[in-house]
Formats: sequence, structure tokens, C-alpha cells
Amino acid sequence: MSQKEQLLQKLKYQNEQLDDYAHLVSHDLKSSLRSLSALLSWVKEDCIEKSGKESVGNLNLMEAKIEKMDKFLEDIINYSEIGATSLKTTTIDLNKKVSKIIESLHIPQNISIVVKGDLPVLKGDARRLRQVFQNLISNAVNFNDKENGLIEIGVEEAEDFYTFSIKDNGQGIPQEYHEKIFNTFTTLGYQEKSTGMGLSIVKRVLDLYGGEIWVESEVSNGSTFYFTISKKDNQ
Amino acid sequence: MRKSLNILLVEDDMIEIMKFNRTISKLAYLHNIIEAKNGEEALEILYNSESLPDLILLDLNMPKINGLEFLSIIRNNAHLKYIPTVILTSSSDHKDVTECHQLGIAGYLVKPLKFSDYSESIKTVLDYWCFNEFVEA
Repeated sequence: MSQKEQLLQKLKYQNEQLDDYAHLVSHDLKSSLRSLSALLSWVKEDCIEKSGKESVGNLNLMEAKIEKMDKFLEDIINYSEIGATSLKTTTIDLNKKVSKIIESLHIPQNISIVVKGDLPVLKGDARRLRQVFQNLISNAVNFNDKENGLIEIGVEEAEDFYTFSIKDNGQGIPQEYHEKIFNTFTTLGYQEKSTGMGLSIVKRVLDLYGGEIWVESEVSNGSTFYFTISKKDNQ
Repeated sequence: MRKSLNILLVEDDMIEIMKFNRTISKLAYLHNIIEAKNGEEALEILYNSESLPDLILLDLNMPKINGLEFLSIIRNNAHLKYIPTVILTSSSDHKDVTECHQLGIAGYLVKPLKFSDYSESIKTVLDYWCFNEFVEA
């Protein structure tokens, strides 16, 4: 084996170890967080009983922090799982898949989601594809600041690949962040709940499939995220 | 309909046990709970008791014999293999879910973050099992 191959193998091994480690630690922290959350809710109950409502303000803040931390850990687990578990390829009807995803999300009444035209049927890993669509759609929903939010999902077909688009009329993203947002832990901070992991998860899945992702956006008018998925067997 | 279940709770975390007992104490029916701190202790209880529990609630992440190992042991034991077992865990790990279903489980519950949600799901599971017919053992 050449030195380069050896190095590559070592690197691959270390990467897997790192994913496993992130996975393990996140799970342990998640369990502890469950305990903390329960204890906190009991303390809160006691406080309300003993001293009236005034004093629970800080406990509510703690609760919110714990919730955010839990979301964070969940995202780290999702991120680390992408590389770790092997892909299972099945035939997926994206029309059904996407409407199922939309049903599963909490969509406020002032936001409508439209699927333009027919989405394709393609081969891929159902969980990974769900992560891509789910994260992009929920971002479009969560960061929408308009009275009548509109999110449009579309697709264009080329010879070898599909280009999907998810367009919103939300607050838009300044030019200088168009690449940065795909980095791990980057959040533009508009949203208290955002962990900065959603787009990195999407990017990592697409990297695995050899797909690309980019954004076109105008501040205060909205963003369109484009990504490509190859028509060839997505292994 | 049954009003009281014999439940074997296999869980190593003290606060998780507190959560469970606190939930149970507020239910309309009085269930009989046997606690085991890990798979090894749970097996000892199963091997040595005259009657089997109606239901096992099983954590996955435990010292000594972990949840998956325990499940695999009882599923391969002619006497114990039919005890309905519900997994109670904080892991929705795809591999864990698949392995548990392959070994044979009666449910897989991912513990919600909030205690009130947790209580609600435990209540739902136990209510469901109250309506079941059991093999007398």
C-alpha cells in the first residue's frame, strides 16, 4: 500500500471515530438533559405552589435553554449519523414524500407551501432525502417574516440530474453569508431556536450524493435554495 | 380490563426511576412495579420469581448487561420469550430501533424532553396494556 493510501485509510478511520464519538457523547448528554428537565419542572411546581407565580421567570428561561440544548444535540446526532450509517437505496416518489414532510411540520396559518408541477420518482435513501427537504422547508417556514408567507417547491430536469428549488418570500440572506451558511454551527441568529446545523446536515447529505447546493437571495425579498440530485443510482 | 399490571422496570438512572414512580403515583390504577438496575439484575429477577411480569419496560443504555443484550437473551429463552417488552430510551438511533424490532418488541418509546410529555406517554402505554389479554404464567 502506498503512503498516500495509508494516510487516506487512517483519515477515514479517524473520521468514523469522530462521528461515533459525537454520537455517543450526544446521546449521553441527551439523557442527562432529560433528567435535568424533569427535576426543573418539579422545582417549578414547588415554587409556584409555595410562593406564587412571580419567581418562576428564571426557571422558564432555564427551561428554554434546556430545550435549545436538546435541539442542538439532536442535530449533532443527525449530522454525525449521516456519515456513519450506510445508505439504503429505495425507489421514492417525491410527491408523496414531500407532502408527508409538510404534514409533519408545524406550519403557521399565514404561511402556504406550494409544490409546483410534478416531482420526480427517484432512487435514494429515504431518511437522507427527508433530511434535505425537511431542513430546507422548515428553514423557509421558520425564517419567514411576511404577513403572507409563500414557499414554492419546484424542480427542473436536466439529462443527468434534477435541480430542485425551494423558494421563499422571507427575510433573505445578505450576499456575504451565501457560502458561510452551509458551514457547521453558522447561524444568522434571527431565530432563537436555530442551532446552525440544519444547512450543514443538508450539505453533508448532498456531498454524499455528489449533489450541489447554492442560494440566490435578496435581503427582505426572500431566498431560493437550489440543489441537484443525480438521476443515476444514488448509492 | 385489567386494573393493575405487574411491571418490571429495567433502568439504571436514579432520576429516571423517580420520573417513572412519580408518574405512576398519579395514575388512577395502582400498578405493581419491580425495579432492576441493569440487565443482569433483571435476569436474576426473572429466573428466580415464580410468576412472570405482565410487561417489561426496558432502557437500552445500561451497565453490565445492556438493553439490547438483555432483549436478545430473553427472546432466546423459551420461558421468557413472550413477555411483552417496551423500550424506553432517549435514543432514536436508527440502528437501535431496527435491532430492537428484529429481536421482537411490543413498542419503542423515545423519552420526550419534558416531564409532562413523558408522563403522558407512559400513561398511554400502560392504559393500552391494561386493555390487553395476557397469557397466565
